[in-house]
Amino acid sequence: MNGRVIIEPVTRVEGHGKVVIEVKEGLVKNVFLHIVEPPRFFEKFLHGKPAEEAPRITERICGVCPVAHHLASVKAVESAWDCPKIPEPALLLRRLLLLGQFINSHALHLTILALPDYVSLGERNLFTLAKAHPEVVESALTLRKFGVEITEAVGGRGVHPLTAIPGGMSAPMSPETRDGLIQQSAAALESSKKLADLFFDLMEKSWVLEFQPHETCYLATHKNGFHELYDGGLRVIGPDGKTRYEFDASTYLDYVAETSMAHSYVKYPYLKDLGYLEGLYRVGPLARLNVGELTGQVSKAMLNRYRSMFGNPAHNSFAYNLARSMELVDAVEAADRILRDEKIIDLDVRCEVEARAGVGVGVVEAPRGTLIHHYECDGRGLIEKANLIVATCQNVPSMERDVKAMVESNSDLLRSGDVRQLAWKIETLIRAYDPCISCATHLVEVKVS
Amino acid sequence: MKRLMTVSLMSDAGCHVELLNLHHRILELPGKVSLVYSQILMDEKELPRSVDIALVEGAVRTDHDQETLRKVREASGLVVAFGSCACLGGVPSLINPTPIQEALKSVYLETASTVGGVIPYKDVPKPLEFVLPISEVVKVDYMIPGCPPESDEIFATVTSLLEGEEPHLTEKHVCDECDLERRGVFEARLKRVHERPEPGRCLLEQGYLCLGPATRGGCKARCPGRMVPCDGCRGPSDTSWDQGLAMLDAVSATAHERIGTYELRTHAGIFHRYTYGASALSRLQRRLKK
Ligand code: SF4
Ligand code: SF4
Repeated sequence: MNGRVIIEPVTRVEGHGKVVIEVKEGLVKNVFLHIVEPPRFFEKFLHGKPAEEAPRITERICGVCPVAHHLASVKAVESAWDCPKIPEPALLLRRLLLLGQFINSHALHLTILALPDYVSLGERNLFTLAKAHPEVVESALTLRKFGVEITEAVGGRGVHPLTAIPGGMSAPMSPETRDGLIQQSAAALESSKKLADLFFDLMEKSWVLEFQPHETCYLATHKNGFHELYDGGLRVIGPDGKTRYEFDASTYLDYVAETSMAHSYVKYPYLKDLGYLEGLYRVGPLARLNVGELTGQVSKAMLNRYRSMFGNPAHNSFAYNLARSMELVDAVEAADRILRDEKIIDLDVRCEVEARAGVGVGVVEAPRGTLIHHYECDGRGLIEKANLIVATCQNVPSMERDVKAMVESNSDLLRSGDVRQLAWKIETLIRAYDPCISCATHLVEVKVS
Repeated sequence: MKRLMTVSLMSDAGCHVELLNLHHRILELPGKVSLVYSQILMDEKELPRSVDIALVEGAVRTDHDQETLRKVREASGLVVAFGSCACLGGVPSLINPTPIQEALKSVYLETASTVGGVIPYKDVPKPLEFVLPISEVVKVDYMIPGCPPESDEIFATVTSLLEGEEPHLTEKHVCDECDLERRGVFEARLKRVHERPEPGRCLLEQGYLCLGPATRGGCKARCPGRMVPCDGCRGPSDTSWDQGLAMLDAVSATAHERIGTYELRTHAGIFHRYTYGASALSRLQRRLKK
């Protein structure tokens, strides 16, 4: 068999991608993961924009993880303007906002995007799933609702928040709003635990455990070795799980670089000391659990089962789904803790800050991984230069290598011409990463050729 | 049963996420309508040949967007521009003042972390010169503006169209829905949002550039309600043809001191944050290019 197999568009992911598999004399020659999502040039058009407005502009990079952009952006501006430490209630509000995003995004991915791959359905989508397993969909929707309501309560809007301003948050939280959210948290924790258990049960029996992944380095934020999303330092571990280096966000350019490719609108990041290809690393739930220990009572208790399936560090790309489900539980637990902290309704949410010239880097963990915003401001506090490294990009090179490995280990499907089955396996793999394609170009086309 | 599809062109999928923010109500849809194509929700890979309604999210950036949009138009009874990118160009149209080659070069070759590489060209869609609202390429029947639109509004519009009724967008402005106190006195010095506005008082009067007077309501004044100026995400109402110019006109008398010191790219980001692609300036630029 000669020719190209093309899977396009990759579905149940956020954004546009295609996979191209080039086959020559029955052998797989090349596999390309094309990110065909149109480029949007945020880094360029930020030029000249008032930096305090960047949190509301850059979040339009991604409708699935806008909160992460909103917060990385405000942190970058605060660092460029030498802003004093923001008041603690504001910090708690930002942490809660980010947790709302994790709950909403992880619940969306696990149920609406990923779950249809692991339960037998005719057509795989939310509606067929709702018919076959109404209770699962019910609890997923409840969970998402909790996450979205947090985002809306703290951020002002369910999708694109508006309240993080250099110096703090624009408005405090009212006691009534807080009480309303606390009332939902017990049910949310129960739902998240059920969902995680379901994923564990499904994956324990699944073909995906046999997948032979590439071993890579991992990058994630941590605080004293613990799982951390909002601040903390960055740590890179090698494939053996040992720490290679730790660094502060402001020095990221010494450690990571990226290169642009002819076939994709995303750039390929890599670790500078190892160079391109050798220096591939992964980010996101898998990386975060490899780098830092979970702290939630309920989430932590799931780690043993996870590690007995995947080892430590976990390399199997499908482990992303389980890592994500544990993070979901952890996020619900953490949100509940913050909501019960009296300081969450404190009125002191802003400090004084002045626009000035400077360079700033802001890093947070987005649901899909480490997100870096880097701005240079002029004396008026307008942005002169911007650089962004978004979560999904960092996983794209590994995704491409994984897709190739998947095609090679399933060459029987290619030979028998069962492209549909092959395409489904590839998409299930890509989906495990939860790529956010529009984010990555600020993702995925599968062609088999 | 009527057939519906949802499509995304260049976008961030935020409008689709807001559709999902209907939460449990989303499950009511299958009883009313058959969803035949939706990249984010379903596996169907071929655009359908015929549907009654298409919701189109995102603006036109590439030749691929343009071609998809034309096919969607041909297949659909009604085309609904879904969100501010589709209606007005949206935030990504802020790149329009920059020539496309310069934009590509800057992002793919010149950013701080980029080492080596090429501008992508192989098997990827070709960017057009400008970002366009979808109405510049095909006839649009209805619009649901907002970044993203309000989920209630999405539900109401789709439900009306399914029942064969005219959907209704409010003619009110954001100011009409805003509870902040107005005293009729304006500050001459233009202020910026990090300067900590006094709670409870009209932001525009305090010197903050709130686009409320030039922006279509329907969001219950979300931003000013949290002491953040409206940045205009719902675009102009039917009575105004250029949201940014209308606003610039309104504030030039009061806030001229600092505004005069800004360049076009700064103005574009303030006054035309969601509408640059549909603005008079962007249209003029396209005409000159021809
Ligand atoms: S209108 Fe806003 S929410 Fe909708 S796709 Fe565009 S940027 Fe995203
Ligand atoms: S106040 Fe303005 S920017 Fe905020 S949601 Fe309403 S229209 Fe959009």
